[in-house]
Amino acid sequence: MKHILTICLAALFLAACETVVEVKLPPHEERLVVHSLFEPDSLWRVNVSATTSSTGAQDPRLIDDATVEIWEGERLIDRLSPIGLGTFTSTTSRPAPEKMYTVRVTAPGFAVSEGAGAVPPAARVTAFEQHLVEEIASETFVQRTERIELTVDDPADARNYYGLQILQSRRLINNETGEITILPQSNLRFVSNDPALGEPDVFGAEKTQYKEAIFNDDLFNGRPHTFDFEIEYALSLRETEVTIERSFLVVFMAVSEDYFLYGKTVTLQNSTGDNPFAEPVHVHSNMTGGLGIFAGYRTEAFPVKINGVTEPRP
Amino acid sequence: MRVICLLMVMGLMAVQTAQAQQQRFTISGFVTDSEDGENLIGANLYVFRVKAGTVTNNYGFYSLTLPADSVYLRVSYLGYQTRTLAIDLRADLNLDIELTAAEVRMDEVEVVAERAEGAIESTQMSVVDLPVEQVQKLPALLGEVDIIKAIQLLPGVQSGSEGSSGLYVRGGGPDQNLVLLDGAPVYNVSHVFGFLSVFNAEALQNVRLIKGGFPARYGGRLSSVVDISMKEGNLKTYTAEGAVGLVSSKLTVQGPILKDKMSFIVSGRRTYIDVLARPFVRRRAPDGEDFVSYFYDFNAKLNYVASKRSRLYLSFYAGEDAFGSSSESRFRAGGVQHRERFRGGFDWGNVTATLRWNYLFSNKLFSNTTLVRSRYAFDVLTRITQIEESTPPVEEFEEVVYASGIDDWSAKIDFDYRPHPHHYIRFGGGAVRHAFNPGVGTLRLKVAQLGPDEVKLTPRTFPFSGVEYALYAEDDVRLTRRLKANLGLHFSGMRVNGATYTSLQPRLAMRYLARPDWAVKASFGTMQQYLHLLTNSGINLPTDLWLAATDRVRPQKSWQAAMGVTHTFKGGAYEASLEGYYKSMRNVLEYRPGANFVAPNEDWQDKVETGDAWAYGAEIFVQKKRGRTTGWLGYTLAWSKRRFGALNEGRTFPYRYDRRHDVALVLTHKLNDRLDLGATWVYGSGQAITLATARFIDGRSLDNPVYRERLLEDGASLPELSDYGARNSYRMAAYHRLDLVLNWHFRKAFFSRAGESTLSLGFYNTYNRKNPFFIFAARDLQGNRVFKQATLFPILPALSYRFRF
Repeated sequence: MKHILTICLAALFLAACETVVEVKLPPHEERLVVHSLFEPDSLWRVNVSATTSSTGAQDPRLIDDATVEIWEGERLIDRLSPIGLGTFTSTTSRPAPEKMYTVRVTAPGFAVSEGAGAVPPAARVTAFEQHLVEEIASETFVQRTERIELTVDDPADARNYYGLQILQSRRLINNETGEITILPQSNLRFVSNDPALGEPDVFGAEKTQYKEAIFNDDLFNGRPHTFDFEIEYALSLRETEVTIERSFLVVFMAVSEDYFLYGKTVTLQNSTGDNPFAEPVHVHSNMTGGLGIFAGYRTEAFPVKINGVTEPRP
Repeated sequence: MRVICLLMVMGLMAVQTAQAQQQRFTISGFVTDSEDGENLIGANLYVFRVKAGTVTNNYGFYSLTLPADSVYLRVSYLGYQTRTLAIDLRADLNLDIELTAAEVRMDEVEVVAERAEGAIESTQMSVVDLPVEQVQKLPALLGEVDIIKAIQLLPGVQSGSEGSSGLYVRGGGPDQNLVLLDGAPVYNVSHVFGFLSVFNAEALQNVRLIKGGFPARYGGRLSSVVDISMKEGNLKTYTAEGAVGLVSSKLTVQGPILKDKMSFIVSGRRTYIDVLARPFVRRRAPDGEDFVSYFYDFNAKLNYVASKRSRLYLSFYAGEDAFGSSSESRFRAGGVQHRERFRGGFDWGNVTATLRWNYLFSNKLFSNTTLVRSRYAFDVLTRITQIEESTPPVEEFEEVVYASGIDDWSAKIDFDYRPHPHHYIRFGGGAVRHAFNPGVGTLRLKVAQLGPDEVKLTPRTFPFSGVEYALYAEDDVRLTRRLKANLGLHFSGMRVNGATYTSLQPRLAMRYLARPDWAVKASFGTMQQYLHLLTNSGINLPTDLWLAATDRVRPQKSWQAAMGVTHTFKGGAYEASLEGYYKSMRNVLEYRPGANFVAPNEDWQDKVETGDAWAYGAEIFVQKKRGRTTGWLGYTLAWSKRRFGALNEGRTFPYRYDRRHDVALVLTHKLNDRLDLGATWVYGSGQAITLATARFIDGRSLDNPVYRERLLEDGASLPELSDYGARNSYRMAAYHRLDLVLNWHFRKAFFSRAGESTLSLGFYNTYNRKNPFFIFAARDLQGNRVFKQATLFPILPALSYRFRF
């Protein structure tokens, strides 16, 4: 139905005439935009850029001459170093779980921007099972559908937030030259009819397709819950010029509330941006004096067995 | 002795005169059209000498108690010749009065609202009666005469977006209007996404809009009542009338089944865009693609005069919009021919049925008993069928249906009681059983040799029902010669999902006659609404959902105060009113940003926010009712605001349809006996919108090595997000347009020597104003980011041919 409505709306739009209009926006004052999603397994990393006016030709710019500091209370933990493209990293320090940190960013010509966040407690994953649902084989490839069941024991003390994604890694091996090309990690889509994952399909489909699911524990607060979802993938059987080696990692995340709100609002804004009749969505920000997100998360990763063999974690 | 006798006679006469002066008698009956027997609603009956009068009720009945004496009873009704009857009132009198229509094209036809005496006399304010005949003379979009579009020209009423059939009355939303067709609520009044309404003007007799000062007999909605009455059917002779236009055609037939006893009226309208376009679609789509796009309306009514005391009416309405497409393709797989059929589309429509029984208990007590069924439904269907043409053939299909709607069964009884010339008492009560279908999806599958399987999706909100009930009593009382008041009490309640909500609503209206042609009026009333409408866009999509209040989303409430002055001058040829109002509303709804209104798996209560709203302003309404040029000028100065704790950081923001200035100038000029010109000019301040004020980089892209590499290689642009200003803090450009129509009248229909007809030719948006429909971000030819405005309707022709015989 979403498509039918889109077609009707499109018909209206096609009938419409477009003209450029001048809208008197107030003079734009640049603000810092700070982006940092941090976890205990990675060094501190913060991206800094600036806003730009919604009209005009100027793109938002990356800021390389900022000062980025990580504080824990009154104690300065680290001053991050610029590595270019608006990115600042630490060479030594990582966030510790369940400790509140503050990021403070200053740059010439900008107001100070600050935000606070912490890495939440780890999710209690108590079981991970994988079952082959279907396998269709031909001479050259096999296509598999795997069902994965992941059980989480949700604590009852507070509202918790989680994320789920499947990471796919691929290596291309040139069979003649032996050259190996490692492709960037990407998300493998998965399908599920579990309402706990949120964002159900607009209409009709029994199962919803996800690239990444971010959700809260409203439907399973304080008790164990088994997430049930399926993935599909194809494996090459016959060697041709290039062999593709694949591996998959199920990543279950515990995320902070700010992370959850940020992820939700970004998704909403992207999905409603083309609809002029939808109410605009503000992207969640926990930065004062600017925009952006400073939020923590933790991951539990589970490799997917292929051909009965667990592929090593890339 | 003679003196004694004379004294005795004089004494007897004095006694008799005194008794006569104290005696009162009641004149009662029906006021009808002399040509077709239609009851005339709101006809005025007045006796100047005693300054007493009344109006006919919704069924044409009147009752007037007067001192026993000779009286001159003046009976008037807009568009009809006034009659003055000399009556020697010595006993109760049953008097049915027939009025003859003034020749519509020849005479001075009154335009809008009541006659001078009615407007000045009535306690009710904020009410307008629209004569359907006048609406038919006005310019119309694509030539389609539309009652709702005419209501949108009145002060205090806004249309929302371009081409919409929504009514935004004094800052209220489209869900806050009770639209009644012969007493049956109509839940979706839109055809073709709001470009036209569901009301076929040919079948209608009267349209009344009440914006405030609601009498106690109305309830259930916060902002307005649109009370529409169908024609009853000509009791005297058969007539047929119709119209052919650019978009649709219509035909109405009415006449007596038993003369002066029983009559019928049947009216139908259908568009034919799909019929005209189908050959072109099929020529371009060799795969057998087809599409469906139509709407229709069907009205029917039976009217039976059982006796002088008893009358029965049976009304029926059905209307539907349908959009869809189908296609079929063939392919070969595995050596076997296959066929695949796709069918998809959606449709929505209303069905209403009303059975009413009028009964006269006495010349002072009139009753109306009504049974109503009203149903609104919206369905979406997609079906994919695959047929393997083997022996035997193998068929598989997957079908998904999404359905939503509301279904009402109701009963009510109303009494009109006029015990005394200074009292007009109305009381009654009723109940409605609502069955809500808030959106349920069904999946049916038939896979290879297995039987069909039906799976209902697991919605968070299941179909449910509730009962709404109301009792009321009101008295229109003359307190002094100059002061009248309407005092009323409306009690309502609803029981749904195990919870009960009730409300006791006082209603007060007063009229002070400062001078015979000046009336000062004031009103106050509270309202409560138990139904919510979830609507997620600025155009009337049929996906709107009607739902009941819950403990989380409580009933909407309002109170409204208004004050105004009405003045007639130049012998009643002009009528002017100035009215100020203040309205406060609680528990109004707004969707949360990005809420998905279609997903059945989500509880609708999680998608909405409740908050407060208030609106205030002033309305000026000047009408010219007689002469070669008639019409009206309406101006509204208004503010409308909202506040929700979880939206706009809890700060007050303007309502989307907060239009500071709203002007409508409507004119009809009679050029000669055969030609008249209609013109409408409207102006509205820009609609409030939310705009992005800044852009920034989506930081996740910087974490992505693919994007980082692209940056290094060629400086590609990164994905961006928008930062928005305060909600509704910007304004689109003002809206204004001019519509013109020339009506050319003929004394015969085109295909007949008899009857009469009218050819109307006009233009919508005559000077081709590029009015804003919405604003969106885009790039200009130089690649700069700009805001662009989309316009929906350029200048459009309007052509129709109406006939009657």
